[in-house]
Amino acid sequence: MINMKFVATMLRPKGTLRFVRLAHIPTWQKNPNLDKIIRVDHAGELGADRIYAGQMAVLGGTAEGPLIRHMWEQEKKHREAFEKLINEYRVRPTVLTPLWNVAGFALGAGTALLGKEAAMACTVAVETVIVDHYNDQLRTLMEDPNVDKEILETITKFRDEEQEHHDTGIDHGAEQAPFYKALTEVIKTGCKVAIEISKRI
Amino acid sequence: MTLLQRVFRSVRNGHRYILPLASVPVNKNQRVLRNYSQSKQDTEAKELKSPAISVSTEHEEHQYEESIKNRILLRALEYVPKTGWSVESLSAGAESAGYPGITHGLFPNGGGDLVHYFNVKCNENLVEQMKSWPKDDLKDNKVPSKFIENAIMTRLLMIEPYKSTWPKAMAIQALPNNVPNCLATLLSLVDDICYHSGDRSVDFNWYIRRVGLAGIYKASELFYLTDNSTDFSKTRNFVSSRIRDAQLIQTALNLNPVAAAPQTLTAAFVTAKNMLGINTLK
Repeated sequence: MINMKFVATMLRPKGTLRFVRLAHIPTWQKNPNLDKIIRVDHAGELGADRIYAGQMAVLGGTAEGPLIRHMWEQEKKHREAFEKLINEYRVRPTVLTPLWNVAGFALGAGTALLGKEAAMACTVAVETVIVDHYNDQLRTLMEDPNVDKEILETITKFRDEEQEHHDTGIDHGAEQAPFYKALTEVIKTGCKVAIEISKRI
Repeated sequence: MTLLQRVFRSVRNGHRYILPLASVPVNKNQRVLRNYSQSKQDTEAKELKSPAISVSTEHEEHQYEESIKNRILLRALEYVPKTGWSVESLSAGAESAGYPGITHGLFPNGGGDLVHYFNVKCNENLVEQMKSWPKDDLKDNKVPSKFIENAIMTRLLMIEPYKSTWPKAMAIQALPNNVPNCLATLLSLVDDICYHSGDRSVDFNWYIRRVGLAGIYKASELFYLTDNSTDFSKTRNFVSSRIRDAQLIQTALNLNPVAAAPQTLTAAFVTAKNMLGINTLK
């Protein structure tokens, strides 16, 4: 048994780029998942910030303006918090920041052009995925006995605020949007793909 | 083991191999022997242990192995100026650390592992030094060119004791199986320099700065190899002018495209005219 283990160590493939680079960074030793978690969350909040910016560009002057502005302000705070975490833990930001920047704005502005209900439907779809995603992350983080309390609390707080946005969207007639089911499904799938990509690169 | 036995064996097996074996218990051999002598029940009982314990022992075993490897590599560096970044150096290093020369088998990449160890050690050393450097000029919003220049020069001068053999090391790093390690150490070097020089970007600039700095570092390394000037003043000049170039490129990229349009168009027309051979400004 031990002999086999020794042979296995000898034949162990050389560490990939990521492992070697991160091997002497303290965060990595504490929790290997933290790197991914912070990166993908930053990308997500960047996207959310841009979606609301797009909605504001179209619906800023309407009755929904103040409501959207309020949610936008919260998203901006989330983004700043994750930017701080990126610097603190020296996490690599995702390569696709320029893409999420443009894609987020286009999604926000595009759905807002379909009307305020469609904009709300977009909010609902995005926030559903984000809440699920944060819940998954909280579960992953809880598995670690000596988890970083600060990150846990940050994510919990943000999860609750995103849930609020989701409920606000439903209250403001998201379900009356044209092709509500199809629209939300498409946006949800897009968000899930973006999350998977941002975790990796 | 009595003296008589020792003499007898050394005559039989050759003195070179028996001394290290007798003075230091070689752990791997013991493990193998223990394994052979264990009965089947023993192994089964072992597997029933709680996973937490087996994880910790595995971790300890890994640590143990790493510390042996590092000791051998550290000793092997002393032999590099003589025998180069090679298996011979590793073998000599292992012998001076008290293990049989054949222990170089721990390093399947041979010289590649030795170069990697050297790079990692130098990077850690540089990080320690950078932490104590003055951070006054980092407060302003300008590029900390002096800090970066110092960091690159300090790192280059760590190669100094091995300068004659360093071209060979660069060649070893370029071998396909060593490329991942080489890139990883280069990336961690530029990441550390960027971080300690106060870069806190969270967008695509993060990549632009690091890749740019990696290019500057590698170019300077090549220049440094042929630099015979006293105090490496030529290398220092080279580094500072490369940093200036990088700053120029950055300002050019940040230029407002509309404001720069007339210039760009004129340049394009002149180039086209030159290519067609109808440039009147001879």
